[in-house]
Amino acid sequence: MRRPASLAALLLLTACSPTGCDGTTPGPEKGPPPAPGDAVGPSGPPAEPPPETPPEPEPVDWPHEPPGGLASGSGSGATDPTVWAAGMRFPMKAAPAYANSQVYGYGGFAAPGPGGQCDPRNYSYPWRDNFCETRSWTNGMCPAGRGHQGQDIRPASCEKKVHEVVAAENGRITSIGSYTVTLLGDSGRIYRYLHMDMAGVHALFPDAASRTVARGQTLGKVSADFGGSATTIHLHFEIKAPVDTGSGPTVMFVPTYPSLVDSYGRLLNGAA
Amino acid sequence: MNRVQAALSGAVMAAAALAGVATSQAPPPSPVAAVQVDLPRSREDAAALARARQDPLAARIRSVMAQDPRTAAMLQLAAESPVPVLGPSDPALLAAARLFTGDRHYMMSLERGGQVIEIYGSTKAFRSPVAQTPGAAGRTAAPTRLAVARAPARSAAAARRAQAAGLANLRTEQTEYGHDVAFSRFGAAYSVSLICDGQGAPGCGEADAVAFAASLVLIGGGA
Repeated sequence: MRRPASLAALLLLTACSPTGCDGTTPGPEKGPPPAPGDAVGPSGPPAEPPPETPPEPEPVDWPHEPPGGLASGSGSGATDPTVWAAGMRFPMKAAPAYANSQVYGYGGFAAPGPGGQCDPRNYSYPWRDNFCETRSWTNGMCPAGRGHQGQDIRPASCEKKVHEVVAAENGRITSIGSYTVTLLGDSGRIYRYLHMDMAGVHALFPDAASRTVARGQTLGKVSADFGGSATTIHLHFEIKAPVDTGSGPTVMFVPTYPSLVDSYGRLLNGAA
Repeated sequence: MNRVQAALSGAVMAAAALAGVATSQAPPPSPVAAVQVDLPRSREDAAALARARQDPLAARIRSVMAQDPRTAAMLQLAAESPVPVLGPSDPALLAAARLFTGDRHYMMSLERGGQVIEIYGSTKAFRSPVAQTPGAAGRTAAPTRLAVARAPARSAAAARRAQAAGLANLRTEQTEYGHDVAFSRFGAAYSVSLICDGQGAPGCGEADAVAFAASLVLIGGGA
C-alpha cells in the first residue's frame, strides 16, 4: 500500500535518532555558541550540556465572576463581554484589589448580613460585576435601562489615602470636581474616577500645566470623598465613550467590568 | 515496528497541535475588543454645518474670542479640529474654558457657579462586534443594536429649544454627580456633562443640562 507523501514527511520529522531529531548526520554534541573569550578547542574542558529551558510559568489567575454576574438581588447585569477599553491600565497601581458591590456588600445599605465595610469578606475574591446594579440612574447598556454606571473597586486594605490610583491611558485631566476626576484618554474615551482623596489630587495637579498624564501615572489615592455625603472606601471607576449603536452614534456609559478583568489579568502577570 | 507506531503517534499529536485542535478542556472565550469606526457626515449634516457657520450669534462669539487674548488661541485650536466644536455662547464662560483636542474628538471644560461643565464631541465611535441588546433579562437580540435608554421626562421648553437647535437622538442621564445629555449634530456624537457638588445641587437638573446643550454654538472646526 502506498503511503501519502505528507505522512512520510511527518515521519521524517518525528522519527528521532538517539543523537538528535534534526535529521543531520550524527556528530558531536552541540552546546551553546561560545561566548566571547571562552576557551574553545580540543584542549579545553569538556563542554557542559546545554541548560534546560525553564518551563513557562502558569498564568496567574484569580477568582472572578463573569460579566453581568451581579450580587444576588441587586438587579440584572450587562452580560456584554466586549472589552470597551482594550489595553487600558488597571486603575489601581497594585494588586490585590477587589471589584465588588458597596451597597450589597457587608457594611452596605443592602448588606447580606451583619458586618462593617472593613469586613474581610469585602476584601477577598471573587470579583463581582456591579455595572447595572440597581440604581435609579439611566443606563442604556443595562437590561432595565437603568443602573449603576461604573464599577466599584476596593483597594487591598480598608484604609484611606494609602492605595494609589493611576491613569488608565495617556491623556489629559480635564476636570477635578469635589469628588470626581475626569481623564480624557488619547483614544477619545472618558474615564471618571470618584471618591479619591481630593486634597491629594489637587496637590498632585495644582495647575493646568500638570494635567497631562501618562498611562500608569499616579492620580491620587483611594478614599471616601463624596461631597459631604457618606460612602465606603472605594474607587468608583467608569468609562464613557462614543458608541455606534447601529441606529446612530451616542455618547454613553459602557460596561466597565470586562476591561477591568482584562487589565487586572495583565497586572497580575507582570504586563500591566 | 514499534518505533514507526511511536513516530506516527507523535506526528498525529504534532499535526493536531499545529492545527490548534483542543486536546483537553477548551479555554473560556476571550473577550472581544471594541473597534473604532468613523462617523459619516451625510449631505444633510453638511448642510446643517454650513448653516451653523453662518449663524450670526456664533459669528459674533467668534469675533469676540478673536479679540480676547484669553480665547484667541482656543479659537485657533477649534478651527483646526476635524470635529465641529460646540461651545457656550457666553464670552465670560469661554474666557475661563479650556479646550482639549485629539484624534477626531475634543472636550471643552469650564466652570459655572461651582459646577464643572464638560462638552465632548467626536466624529468616531466604538463598535462592539458582539454586543447584545440588554433590553430584557435573558433575551438575545440583534448583535449590532444596543439598548438606547428611554429619555426621561424633561422640561418641555428645554426640549423644544433642543429640537429647534437641531439636536438629534437626545438622551439624558442622571449620574452620580449631576446630569449628562447626549445628542448628535452634524453627524458627530456629543455629550454635555454637568458635574456638581452632589445630586440635587441647584442648576444641575435635567432641564438645566438640556437647555445648556441647546444653547451651544459652533466655535469652529469640522472642515
